Amino acid sequence: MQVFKTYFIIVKKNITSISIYFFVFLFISMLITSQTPKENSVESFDSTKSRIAIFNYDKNSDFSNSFESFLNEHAKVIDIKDRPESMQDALYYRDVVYIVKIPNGFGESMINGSNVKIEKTAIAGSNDNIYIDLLINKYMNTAKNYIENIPNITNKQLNTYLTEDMSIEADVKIQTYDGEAVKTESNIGYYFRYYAYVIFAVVILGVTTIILTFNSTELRKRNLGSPIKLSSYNFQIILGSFVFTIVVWVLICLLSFPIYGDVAISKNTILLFVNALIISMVVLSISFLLGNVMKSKGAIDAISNILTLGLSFLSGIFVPQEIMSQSVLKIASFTPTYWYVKAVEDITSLTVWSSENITPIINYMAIQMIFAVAILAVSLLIVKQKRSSKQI
Amino acid sequence: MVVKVEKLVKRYNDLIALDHFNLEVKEGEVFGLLGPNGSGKTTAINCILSLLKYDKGNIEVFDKPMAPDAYDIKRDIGIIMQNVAVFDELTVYENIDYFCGLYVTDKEKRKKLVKEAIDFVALNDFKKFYPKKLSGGLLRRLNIACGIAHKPKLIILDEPTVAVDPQSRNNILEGIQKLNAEGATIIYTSHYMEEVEQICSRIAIMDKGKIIATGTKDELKSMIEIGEKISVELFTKVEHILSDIQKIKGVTSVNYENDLLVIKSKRGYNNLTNILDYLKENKISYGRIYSELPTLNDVFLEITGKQLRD
Amino acid sequence: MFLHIFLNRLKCLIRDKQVMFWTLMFPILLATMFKMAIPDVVNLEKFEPIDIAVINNVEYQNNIAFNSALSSVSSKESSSDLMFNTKIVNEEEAKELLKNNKISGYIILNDGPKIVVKESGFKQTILKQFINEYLQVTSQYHNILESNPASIQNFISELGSSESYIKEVSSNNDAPNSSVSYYYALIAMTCLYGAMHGMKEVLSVQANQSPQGARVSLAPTNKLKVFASSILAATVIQILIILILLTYLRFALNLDFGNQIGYIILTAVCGSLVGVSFGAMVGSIIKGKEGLKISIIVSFTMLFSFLSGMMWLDIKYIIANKVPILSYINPANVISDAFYALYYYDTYTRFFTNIGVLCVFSIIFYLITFFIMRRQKYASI
Repeated sequence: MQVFKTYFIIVKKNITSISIYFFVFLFISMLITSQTPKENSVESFDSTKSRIAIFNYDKNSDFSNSFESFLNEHAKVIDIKDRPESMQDALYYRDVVYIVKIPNGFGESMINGSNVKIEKTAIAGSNDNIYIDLLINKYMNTAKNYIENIPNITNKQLNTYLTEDMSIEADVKIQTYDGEAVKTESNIGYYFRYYAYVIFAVVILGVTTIILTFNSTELRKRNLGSPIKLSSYNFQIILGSFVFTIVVWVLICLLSFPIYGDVAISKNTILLFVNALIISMVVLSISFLLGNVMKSKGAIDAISNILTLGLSFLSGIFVPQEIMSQSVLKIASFTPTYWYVKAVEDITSLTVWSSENITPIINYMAIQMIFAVAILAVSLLIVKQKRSSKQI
Repeated sequence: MVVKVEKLVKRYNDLIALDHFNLEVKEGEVFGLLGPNGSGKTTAINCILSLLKYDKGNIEVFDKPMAPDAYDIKRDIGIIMQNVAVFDELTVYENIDYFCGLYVTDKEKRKKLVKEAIDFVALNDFKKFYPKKLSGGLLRRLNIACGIAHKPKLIILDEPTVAVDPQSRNNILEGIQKLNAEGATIIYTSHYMEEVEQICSRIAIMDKGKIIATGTKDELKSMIEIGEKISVELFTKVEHILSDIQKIKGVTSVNYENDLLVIKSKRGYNNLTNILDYLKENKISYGRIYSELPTLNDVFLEITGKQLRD
Repeated sequence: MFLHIFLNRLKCLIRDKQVMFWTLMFPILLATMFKMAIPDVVNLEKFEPIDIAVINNVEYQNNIAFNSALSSVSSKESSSDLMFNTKIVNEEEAKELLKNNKISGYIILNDGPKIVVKESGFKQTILKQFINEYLQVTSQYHNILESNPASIQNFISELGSSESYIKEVSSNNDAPNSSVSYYYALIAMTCLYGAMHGMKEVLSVQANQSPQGARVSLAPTNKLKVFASSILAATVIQILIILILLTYLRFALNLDFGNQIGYIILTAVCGSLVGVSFGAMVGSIIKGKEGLKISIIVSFTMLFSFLSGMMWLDIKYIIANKVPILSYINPANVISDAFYALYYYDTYTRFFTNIGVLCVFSIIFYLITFFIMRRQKYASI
């Protein structure tokens, strides 16, 4: 097991650069978890309120004032100074996501039925933006209905009606089923989506560096000249790489316990671990391939960065698959990471462990396995060819 | 005096690299600095060139104190380092032109100089090649061309023949002699005594950061006691033979090792016939027998008690 | 002399394939992948119809108003672009469907419509909003019927026609499109990759870093002069690269940077200065092989880019709130910040503050480089 031993001596020498990625990952995970999940939060039943600012220039109007208190109930109102810079700063730092300005005479015009508008400044494309828009329009349309259909409606009456209508909420019952798992918190889903990025970065960096060292011309000649069998030589290198990958996998999985606490202890998490292990095997075989095909560290740095970032963007590690176009997703389906992310998403939303729900997840994992085996086969073929070829 | 170094001291932490090192190189000389690896040759060169800080001492080049910004001195120095110092991204021609351009600003003049340098190292066929495409020997020649294109008066070559094939080595050595004939003063460092003996008019032997002997090769050889070394292949070791030979006049030492009897004599004594006579008289059978004059290695051995090449 | 060095260094930089890959090809490839992965406009209103069920009971059959409301937004074929795919089932079936995630939730009418779901989420919220809307309109209907029955017909006919009461007043003419942010981070990254050029130039003149540098140090020329013209070559190349990238983004990928292209170029140029000087500093501080320096520059640049939101936009704001100091000392963040400032602010105060910070960065980096390079003799080579 000389080759295997040497493998880890080389790992030890390169440990600094490898561990950099680790600490960066740890740091990022902390940041992500310290943040309440933003996705879906606005729409959920237990929604956190959007942070908005209100500038009411129509203080004399009862209508405008009751509209202001309506907003106060449905959003978290932040006090900011009525100066353009303060508003811009507030938006810039995401102190508020939406600024409402009720122009002078707005209430009066509403009652008279003329067309007036609330002025808003908001962060484009955010969920909060859409939500607050809906809220305001619903309020105003309801008011319009009353004003149009009940002539001479008093302000008091209008406010009563509006308050009453707006407070109506559908009755929602959350059904639970026997033997059902707690839904995995979406943050741990994030963590495992990012896992693919990190395992690509760390394992490709580590494994290719080491294989490259073994393959350096002089060393390679010496190894090929020794009585060790090629198959045994390859086996030991693959075994070394495998152990290295497993260590990284175990460390990252263990890391999820202190970060996510109780959430991490569930059946779903075990599936996430298994899924992570499978993608790690894909990365392992990619690294083995790269290490045997590429000739210089520089070329490997280049390829691995392109590969890591490219796969991460295309297959939904950084950008959620939901917002990607169908044609890109079709291309993405030729990458192993696409199936990895799909599996992560299914696992995190998995609540009932029925064969109907588990089968697709198993299939996604199987597809990843096929990638791993195919890539490994190709690289073994290349290694064999290289040995029999005249040039070294 | 082209180069004058007095009492130069250079320390690397606890290690004394140069220990009161003195050196004088006269105009027109091919001066050899001979010493084993790690004896301080390159350190001395780097100090002379003001690349390295030193702790004590005086360095003058062309009778002026040397400093990093002594540009008028630097203009007349050409340097060929142990490591090949060329840019991979520039062709042979562009490399020589670039480095020459740091010395000579006149374009026309430079063009002529670059051409001469290329002719000198015979790289005409490779002008447009990138360094990565050149073989080791050709690369060394390019390295030399980059150092001498500006026609320096003092050329310093620091182990230019390390890892060079014999043919290129001869080319390089001939080139050095040619440059010297054209009027350049040469400082040549090496740990190959044969090369130094071949081309240098004056030689300094270095060990542990000190010059331990200076002179022409004959002067150096005459400094030591040994005159002649006779080796006899002998297949039986007999104690009395050793003691008998020891008694021959002028013999300083007799050693027997690996079937080889080595007899060293003082200078001025010619003992080959005496030994042959002794062997015949006593009917001692022997194999080959040969006699050598002392080499610089013997000089080094005698002074330091160790071999030049370990 | 100055020109001689400058031109030769330009040649060297352009011919270095590895450096050109990182500084030019990598950003262009990455931008192309951004273009593929990130849609230009995040369209949240476009979604697939949601699978729901409604329990077929007596109240459902009798409630005509609810029936018509539901059928106006649902269809039985999934091909429709309506809100719901509705199945009419009995309660047992509905529970089974919900259990296996075949539907997002179901409606049961029992003294008014009620919703049963398994979890909260986007689809469930849509369902809830629909029922809320139905209940609220019902309430309006009763209120109007009570106060002014004559108008009830008008009310019904106006149903469904809703008006917008909101006018967007953006602080600037160009409303920022969130996907552009990724490209800002990318431009920032490209600026920082200019470090490769800066590092290479230090390497080429420092006697203790390369034999070429030793040769340059021995020439009768002031080393700092040689370095100045080398670094100018590096800066020129880097600015050219940034301009190529901007052209590629604008014309090949069709990104709209709005009408402030002059300011954007200014930012890119200042960013390039920071990048090149950063590389010069790394090159002079870290003794070691070129490969090691490249690795250091690549890892730092990727880390800086990540922290400025290149892979995940929100990280920028998380850091601005939790570790604000980090957002000021991260050059990639300051560069992308300058771009943001162009959009979020009417005035250019913040923009020029960022530009100022960039200049300060580059001055500090060069000062450090200078103090290290000023040394002309070395303790060891």
